[in-house]
Formats: sequence, C-alpha cells, structure tokens
Amino acid sequence: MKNILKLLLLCCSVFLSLFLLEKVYDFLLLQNKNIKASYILSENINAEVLIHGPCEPLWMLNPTQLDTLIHKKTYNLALSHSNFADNYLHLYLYLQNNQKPSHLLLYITPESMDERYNTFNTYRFTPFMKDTLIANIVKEFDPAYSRWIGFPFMKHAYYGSLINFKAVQGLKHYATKKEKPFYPNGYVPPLVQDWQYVMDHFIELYPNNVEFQWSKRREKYFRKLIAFAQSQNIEVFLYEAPVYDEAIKVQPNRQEIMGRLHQLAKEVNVPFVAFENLEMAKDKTNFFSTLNMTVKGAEIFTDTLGRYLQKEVFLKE
Amino acid sequence: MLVSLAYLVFLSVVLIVFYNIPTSWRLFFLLSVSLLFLGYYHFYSVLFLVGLTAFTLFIGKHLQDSIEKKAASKTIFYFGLLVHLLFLFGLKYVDVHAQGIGLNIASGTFQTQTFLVALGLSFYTLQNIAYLIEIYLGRTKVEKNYLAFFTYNAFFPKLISGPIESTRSFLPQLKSLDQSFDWANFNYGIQRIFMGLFKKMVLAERLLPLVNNTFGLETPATGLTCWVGICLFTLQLYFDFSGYMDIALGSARLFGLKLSENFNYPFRATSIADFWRKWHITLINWLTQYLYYPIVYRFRQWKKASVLLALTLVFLLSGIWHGIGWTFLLWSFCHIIYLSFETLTKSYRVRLSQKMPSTFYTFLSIFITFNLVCLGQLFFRASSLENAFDLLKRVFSFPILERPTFFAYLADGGTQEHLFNIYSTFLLVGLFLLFEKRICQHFFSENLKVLSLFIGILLLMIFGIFDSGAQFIYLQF
Repeated sequence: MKNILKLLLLCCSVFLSLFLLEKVYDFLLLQNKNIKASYILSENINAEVLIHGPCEPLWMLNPTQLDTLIHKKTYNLALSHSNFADNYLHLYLYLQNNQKPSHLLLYITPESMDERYNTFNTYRFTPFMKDTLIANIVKEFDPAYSRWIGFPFMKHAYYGSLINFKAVQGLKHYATKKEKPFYPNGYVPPLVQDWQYVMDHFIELYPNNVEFQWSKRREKYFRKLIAFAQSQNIEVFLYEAPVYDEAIKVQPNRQEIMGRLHQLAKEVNVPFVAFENLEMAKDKTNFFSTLNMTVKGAEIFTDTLGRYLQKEVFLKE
Repeated sequence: MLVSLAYLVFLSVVLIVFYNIPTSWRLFFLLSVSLLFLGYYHFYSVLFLVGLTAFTLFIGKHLQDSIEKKAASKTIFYFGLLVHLLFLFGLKYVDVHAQGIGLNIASGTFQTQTFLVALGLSFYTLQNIAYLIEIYLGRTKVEKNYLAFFTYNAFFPKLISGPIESTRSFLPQLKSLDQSFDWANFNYGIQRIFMGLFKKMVLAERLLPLVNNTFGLETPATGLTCWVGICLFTLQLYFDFSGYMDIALGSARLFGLKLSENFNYPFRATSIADFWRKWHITLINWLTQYLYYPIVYRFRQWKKASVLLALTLVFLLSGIWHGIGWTFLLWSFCHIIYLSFETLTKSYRVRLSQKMPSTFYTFLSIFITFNLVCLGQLFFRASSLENAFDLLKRVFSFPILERPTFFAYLADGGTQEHLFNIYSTFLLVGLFLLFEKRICQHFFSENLKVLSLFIGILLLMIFGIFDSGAQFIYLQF
C-alpha cells in the first residue's frame, strides 16, 4: 500500500508540475519579442506592405530601404527555412492582431516547390497548438509530434533544444519589459559566410546537376496562402530575385519549373515577376550562396524591386 | 527500440500478464513475447534466432553423447563452432544486396545500418559458442529444458545488444520463474529504466550533434576544439550503451531476473587494463575466458610473449566482431599497443607511483587513460581511414586553442541559442560524470526515491531530446 501511495504521489506531482510548466513555457514564449509569431501577436505593426517567404527575403529586403522607395510602411514577416504552410500560418497569426496590409510581397522560386528546400517548422507553433487550424496543419506535417502533445508539456519538450533558450529569453524580455525585438522591422542582415565553403557543399550535395521536383503539397499550401490573402482583400505580388548565374548552369529544368510557376500565378490571378537576368546576377560578390545575397547584393536588389513596385504597382493603382 | 513509448507500453502489458498467469506458463510466455518483439522489428531475425538456437541444442546434445561414448567429439564441436562463426561473420559482412555476393567492407565502418540482417546475432552466437565450449570441456551438461534455453537466447531486454549472459548465471533464473510480484524488484526496475532513459535521451542525444559536427568535419575546428569533439564521442558512446544496459537490466529486474552488469564507471579507470575491466564487461569476460586464458595457457612457456600474443588475438577478434574495416583494425591496434606497453612497463609504473603523491598519480592515470581511450575511439567512430587521419591532422593544426570560437565550432554555429544548448549539455554531462557513482547508487535502489525521480523526470522532460529518432549505437554491431 505504501508503495502504491508513493507511486501515485510521484505520478500526480509529475503530471501537475508538467502541466504548470507547460503554461509557464506558453507564457514565456509569448513574451519573447525575438520570436516573430509572439511579436506580431503582441504588437500592432499594421504594415501596409508585408514581405513574406523563407530566408531569402528575410535576409534580402530591408523594410527601411524599401519604405523610402515605395513610401509605405513595410514589415518583413519572412522566416528562415520556412515553406508555404509555415508562411500561411504566420500570415494567419499576423492578421489576428494587425490591420490587413494592402500588399503581400511573396518570394517564389523553383526551390519553393521542392520539398528538399525549406520545411515546416513545428517548433514555431508550440504555444498556439490550441488553435484548430494550426493544430491540423501541424498534424499534417508532423504527425509524430502531434501524437505526443496530449501529454502535459510534451508540446514544448518534443523540440526542447529549439525551445528552452527561447523560453529563457522570453523570461528575460518579460523581466526587462522589452518591447521591441532585436530586429524591429523583421529584416535580418545576412551573416558573412565563406562562399567557397557553401559552393563546395552545394556541389557535394548535387554532384550531377540540380533537377528540381514539384511537390503537390507545396502547391496546395501556395494556393491556400494566396486564397487566404485574397479572401482578406490583400493584393499579392509574386517575385523571384536574381539567382547567381553560375548556379543556373547546373539546373537544367529551372526554366521548365519557372514556366509552371508563371502558369500557377496566372491560375490564381496574381502578378509574378522574375528578376532573373539582372546584371547583378553575374557578380559573385552579390551572393553568399546561389540564392542568398550579401548586404551589397541585397541593397541593389531592394532598390530594383522598390523602384519596380513604385512604378508598376503602386503608381498604377 | 527500447527508448519509445511503444516499448514502455509493451513492457507494462507483458509485466501485467506475466504476474497474472500460472507460473508454469511464464517461461513460454516470455519466449513468445520475446519472439514477437523481435519479429515486430525484423521478421527474418526470428528465423535466424530459432534456427541457430535449435542447432546449438542439437549439436550440444550430440557433443555430450559423443563425449560420453568417447567418440569423435572434436569434429562435432568444431562443426558447431564453424557454423556459428560462419553465421556471425558471414551474415555481418557478406553483402547480399550488392550484385553478386561480396565482402561488405564498406559497412564495416561506423554507421547506423537501416537494414539489419539478423538482430542480436552477434550477442546470442557468442552465448551459443560459450555453451558448446562449456559442454566440450565438460564444465556443463547439456540443457534439457529447451524452452529455457530458447528464452535464454531470446529474452527481449537483452536480445538486441546484450549483456552476453552465461548459461550458469541466467538459465537457473529462467527455470525458477515462480516468484510473486515484488515491490523491491519493481522499484529497482523502474528506477534503473529511468536512469537508462536519462542517459540516452538527455546525455547521449545532446552530445550527438556535437560529435556529428566534429566527425563530419562540418566545422573548421582545429586543435583542442577538435580533440574535445573527438572525446565527446567516447562519452556519447558510454551514455548510449550504458543507457541501453540500464533499460535492459531494469526491464529484466521487473520480471525478477538479474542480468550481468556491463559497465562499472569506466572513466574512473587508472589504466587501459582497468578500463577493460569496466567497459563492455560481458564481452571482455567472454573473450578473456574463451580466448585469452586458453592462449596464455597454451603458450605459457613463452612467458610475457604469450600474454602479448593473447592480447593481440583478443583485440583483433574484438575489432572484427565490431566490423571488418581498417578503422576497426586500427582501433584494435591502439588497444594492443596500450596493453602491451602496460604489460611490459608494469614494474616501472609501480615504482613511479611510489615516488608520487597517490592522489596526483591516480588523477594523472585517469587523465592519460581517458585520452588514450578517446584516441582509440577516434578510429572506432571515423567513417573511413581518411576521415580519421583528417581529424588527427586537425587536432595537430593551429590554432590549438582559439577561445572565441571554441564552443561555436563544436556547436556548428555560435548563435546564443547554440551556445545555450552547448553550455547546458556540458553542465549536465559534467555534473553527471562528477557525481555518477552517487547518482547511480542512489537510483539503483529497491526503495522508490520519489523526490529524486520527480526531479529527474522534470530534467528529462526539459533537457531530453525527443525528436532525434537515433538508434542505439550498439544496435549495428
């Protein structure tokens, strides 16, 4: 009897503590201003133009520079290593606490439709798992995670190494009453990287050229994202930034996929401009990988994009 | 396999049924669930296990008959031995997936294989060989309880990665499964399983990315950083393998069965010989009993040379048992050199120890032993000979110690989050190793330690890695 009581005491105290810990983590993660999902839910950004997509726009488009060209309040909602489902849910969260932007600038490239590039990052949504839409999409992308989340605290513990630091940082932000994130307009300047290392790695990964694949699931979430934006009367503008010229040479079906992207954009009734053949694509110093730009390259492209948008989109409206 | 919710559910169900069926059914029940467990992961492994165990019983019986009749027992014995060795090395290294059949040298290097030809084969073949040797030498009689012998080989907690049990210690336990549920065994069992989960999920899994970064040459780490990365593999392997053992021993204890210990705080070893008395004990015992002693005895007139010969053969076999490849061979050579050196300099080292303060000598011995073991493990873990020498080259490259990037290179980055993770890993591993003996003595108890378990479970939940899906390292051997 004594042993049973001891076991019961252990089980109850563990469950109760984990339940409380889950609530504490939920709270702390929402206090962390450096987590975009938490910041957009706590701050009224109310941008007129939203930049969205994976790491390329995150490290490429500085809203401060873009604002001076298009004269509209811009926020960079892009997230590194994110796919369209990830982007869709972040737009969904953004609109819960912010006015609708007039325009959404969405980065798209053949890599966007290939499952080998970028992914759905479940850990970004752990505090929001009570939301049915989020829970369902998480379940679709990460069924192993979804099986566990009924157990107290498991929704945070499952990706603990990606969560613990953010919770501690949330505690710091809460204690210091921090209001703005480290990157207030969402833009993150690119890190200085060794180009040759990246290129060698690229060649190692794809020794026999890069054959892009088309994922139906990526297409499904691309359509969902566009439909959601359109249902909110947000004008979507699709664009592709320049790709380093040398890389295109080892991508035999790039143009074929680009054709499909143009067709898809037509189907969903959204303009799509590919800025592929700009002079800057020939200069290696503008890139630190085949798609990602250095600060210098990013400034050149932001200027090009800003002028284009001002002339072809905003002035015409 | 043993670190999954499925296993814990399976274990709980088996345990409940085990204590609620007549005692005479228990052995059959344990055998059935063990085969089910094995079949769930790999059906063909069941056929190998049943076939080889039946063959061993058959040969064992004929061997004893021939000994009693003073007939040609040697032929039967060597035939039995040969078949086991053919299965052990044949199945491990003949690549039947390649076009034609050839030696699969490549898979002899360190890698987790997705397809395992026969799970647990390396472990139960050694048990079978030991059984045949014991009969041949007249030290044991043929086992008449076939059900017990099948369960001896198939018992699910120890099936995949050991410990390697002797018939003398484990079979009598299996033949007397009539005990009623015992809280002392239960408490010990769950606490031991918890310790295994903690070692695997918190310590080994947190070290895994650091080790992979180092051995995968993912970072430009040199000098001391690279050496620390190499040393971390030895720690990862220890936590991984001893964690598995804790789960196996804890699971067995829930059924009232005591398996042999495979580790005894190996990082407190003061010499390589001492290390091998504390690391993978059951394998080393097997090799000592059935290879080392017979060779030393056979060549006893050679004096020290017989010891060196025995050491060489034992470690060459141990290397081949782990995998056929140059890296495992070099791992073997490292230990042959270390142990030979220790054998030849024993008297000198004794004199040296008398001239130094004992604490200093012990500390120095532990430090040297650990680093030598890590050097050996570098070859054990390296994906190829080239990889091993690349790493060694890096260790001796400048800068030897570059403080700002020391941790960043290990963590493949250097963001605040990476550093937070690496600091917490070092803190957890460091504290665990420092207080390991106390922690283990506290948890490996027949009394339920409610508060300690409570704290431990919270630590496991906060710092455990749940999403890696990494297998136990020794599963591949």
